[in-house]
Amino acid sequence: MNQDRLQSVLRAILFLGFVLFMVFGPFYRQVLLGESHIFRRWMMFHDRGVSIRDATFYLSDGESLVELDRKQVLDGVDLTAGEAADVWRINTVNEVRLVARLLCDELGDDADIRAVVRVGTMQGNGWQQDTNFNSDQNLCED
Amino acid sequence: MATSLDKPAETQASTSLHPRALWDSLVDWALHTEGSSRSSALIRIGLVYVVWARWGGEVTPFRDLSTEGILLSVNFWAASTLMLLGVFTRLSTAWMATVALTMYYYFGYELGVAEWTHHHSYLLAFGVLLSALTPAGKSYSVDRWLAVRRARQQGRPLPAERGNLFGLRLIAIQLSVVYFFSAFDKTTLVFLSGARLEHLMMWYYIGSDYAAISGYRMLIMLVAWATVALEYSLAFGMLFPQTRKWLVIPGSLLHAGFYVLLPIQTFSATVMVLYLAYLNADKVHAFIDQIQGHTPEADETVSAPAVVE
Repeated sequence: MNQDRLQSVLRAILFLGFVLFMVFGPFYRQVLLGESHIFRRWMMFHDRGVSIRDATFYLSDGESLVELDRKQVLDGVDLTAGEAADVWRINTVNEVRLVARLLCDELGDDADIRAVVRVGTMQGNGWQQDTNFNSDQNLCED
Repeated sequence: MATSLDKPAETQASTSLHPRALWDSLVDWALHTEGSSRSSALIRIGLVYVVWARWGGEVTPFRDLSTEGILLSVNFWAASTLMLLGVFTRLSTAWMATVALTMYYYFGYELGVAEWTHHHSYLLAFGVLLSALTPAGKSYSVDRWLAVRRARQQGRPLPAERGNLFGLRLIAIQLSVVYFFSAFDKTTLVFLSGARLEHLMMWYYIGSDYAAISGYRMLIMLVAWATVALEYSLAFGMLFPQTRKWLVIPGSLLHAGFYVLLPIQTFSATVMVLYLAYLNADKVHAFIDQIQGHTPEADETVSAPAVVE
């Protein structure tokens, strides 16, 4: 076998090997749902942001609900960095309760704070009601 | 050798649709194309700068004084410097690829450096590996400089800035695979409904308040559909000159958007460097000549008497 022919064969082997690796890897991970660190899946930001809460807080007078702007209510309050982050972006049930507690403290212990919360998911249309909270539950009594 | 995928649009139409002819054309494109080495060299140089930007600060010698850390640092800086300069280019690029893949697989997965296991790290490491299969040392390199000097001293014609481009084909296929499987991952109700983009908008920009803007849901759903459609189009369309010309700018804008809007590290920068693999290498060469005011005739006149020392 002359050198040109040998080079062509080597190139063909390398080419096929790399293409198989590049295509089979994500196919194995994403279609066959296999687990392996050898192969790369291409699922960038696949589940980033899931669990984010779309939270609306209300002040109740017993008969009607008035929507609260939690950032405005807590604007002048001396919050820790962690609390401030949680007020801005809520990711867990405990963070909803924390924000509610801060609102209760700011508005007085006899305040009646309710929350309606949706949680980001990977199922269906991407949002589910967070059943830990509803508009009938006074979070200041927790 | 001319290839069907790289042929200009007007000649592409005349390519036979006979399966055998298509197969031969595909094999020619993949394995037998000879072309300018300048785009390969630019990829090599660009990748080194991306490698330094991404990992340089993390592999400075003082960061990790363990034996493994010092070995990594020495190999990283030696290999990447030689790769940048183009000294024993194929060897030094393969050396750098070994270092980068060691960082990804061994330091990343075995030693737990989680940041080095991300997709941007893999694409960068794999891009360097595939770059070792390109004729990257035949342009803009110390190897090239020495070859030109030798030819002049021996009165031989200057070596051509050309080589086999199968490494560039592999880079192009790798990028298309990334686009395809990224689009595949998004081909779900949850993404196409716009919800995933809403989650990301809230996570990074808005916080836990749904944007109370009229038409917001419709707008974000349109962006989701456009993103998926563009990624599928890029996966296949960038491989063909007829469609590539319509996709280069949208593709570049997509990555610019990712770079500006999301914490994607060096992913977009790596892709932009590797985009050169999609382009016709001889056209890139001619374009570089054009913007530098060179013509082949003028180059001969200018370069013949000069001796590069």
